Parts: sequence; structure tokens; C-alpha cells
Amino acid sequence: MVYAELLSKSLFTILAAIAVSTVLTIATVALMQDNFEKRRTKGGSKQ
Amino acid sequence: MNTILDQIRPIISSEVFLLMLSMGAFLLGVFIYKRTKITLLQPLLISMLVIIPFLKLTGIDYPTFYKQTRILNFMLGPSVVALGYVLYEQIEQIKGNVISILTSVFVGSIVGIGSVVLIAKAMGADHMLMASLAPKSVTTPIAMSLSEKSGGAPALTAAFVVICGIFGGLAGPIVLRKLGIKSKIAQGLAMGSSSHALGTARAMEMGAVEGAISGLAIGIMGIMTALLVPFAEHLF
Repeated sequence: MVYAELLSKSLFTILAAIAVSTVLTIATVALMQDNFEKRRTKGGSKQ
Repeated sequence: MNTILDQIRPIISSEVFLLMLSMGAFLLGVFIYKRTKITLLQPLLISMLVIIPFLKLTGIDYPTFYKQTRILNFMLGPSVVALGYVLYEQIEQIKGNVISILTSVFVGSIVGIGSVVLIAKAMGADHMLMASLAPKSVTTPIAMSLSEKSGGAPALTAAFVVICGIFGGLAGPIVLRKLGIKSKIAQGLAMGSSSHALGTARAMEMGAVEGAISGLAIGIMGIMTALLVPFAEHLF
């Protein structure tokens, strides 16, 4: 019951924090890995 | 109405019935999702929309439901291990990418924990809420344990993990498309590290490589988050 009250009070904060953070995590991991692979491919083609 | 409910309660709160209800609701969700192809209609979400009202209407409490369907919880373990086989099939893809995978997930973990805590803090969240939010990107058992240790509420964390998984499963492919990410490893890694098993289910739909890498990302993200959450407590 206490949690239900907390959730209803802070719902916007929770959803905003989760949404922004999830998008940032996806973008960071994907861009870093993609960049690593592109650099490796470039390095490989130069050799 | 109540007398009828009382008469059938032993049947509807039995293990067989509740297991059939859970699996039936999920299969219904899969059917609707496959038919409509609407990303918002995730099987997990549809299952919740079927099961929660049923439990409310019949007055079956959550501990009873949890106890009667515990075999499904037990099967979570073997299903994660089964991802290992898919991973084994893609071992050649992973061999040359170990360092980049570990680095990307490590940085992703810092960004994920740091951003959720700082955003919540900026919006006035208290210590308990921040501690409950911090491990949201990892699989439920790890997240609940980390939340408890850092002063959060494990029950809330379990809910946040599901919200994060559903959101990541929906938004992930859109973000990846917008960023122009073509690498299958990068796609799988991003889905698994941000949205655990729900992201992996979505990654499986994208392809075998994406699914396998996403399964691997769940494990790495779990370890990284367990190592980083104690440091994040300084931000609370």
C-alpha cells in the first residue's frame, strides 16, 4: 500500500528516469560497439 | 456471486489452473502480437492485462499465485542457460570482439546507472527510490538483491525492471534504426544490456546473432552492475 502511494506520487519521475536512461544505455552501447567494429574494419583494410 | 466464487475457489486457485492461465495468457499475447505486429502489444504486457484483473476479481492473493506458478520461475534459470547454446553457435562472431563487448557494456552500465540516479535525484526522488531504480537494467533476481543491499525496495525494483524491459523492447529497435546501427553485435549488445530478457526476446526476433549476443549482454551487464551499484550509492 505504501509502495502504491509512492508510485502514484513519483510516477512521472520514475517513468522519465527509466525512459531517458534506457535510451542512453542503448545508444551508448550500440554506438561504442559499432565504432569499435568500424575502426577494426578500417584498420584491416589498410593493412 | 460470492458463493459461486467460494465454491470454485479451490479449482481456480489450484496449481494446474493457474499454470494454464499463465501460459494461456502468454500464448494469447504471442498470438495477438504476431497477428497485429504492434510493438506495444508485447506478450508479457498482454499476460499482465489478463492475469492481474483475474486475480483481483477472484480475490486470489499474489503469494498464492506465486506459489502455485513457481515452476515457471524455476524455468527462468534453464531458459537463460539455454541461451548459452545459441551463444556457442555464434562463438566465431564473438571471438574477435571480446574487448570491445566488455568495454561497451561497462560504459553502458555506467551511463545506465548514473543517468537513472541523477535524473531521479534532479526530479526530487528520495534515497529509497534512487536505490530501487539503480539496478533496473539487469535481470530481476540480481536487481532485487542489489536494490535490497543499497537500501532500496526489492518489490519496487522488480516492477522497474519490467517497465525498463518493456520500454527497451519497444524503443530499442527505433533508437538503433535512428542511429543507423547496422552491426548485429552492436544491436544485440544494446538490447540485452539495456533491457535484459525482454530486450533479448526482441533481439531474437531481429536475428540469431542479435539474440545470442543479447543473451551474453544480460550476463555481462549483471556482473558490471553488481560491481558498479555500490559506487553509485555515493550519488544517492
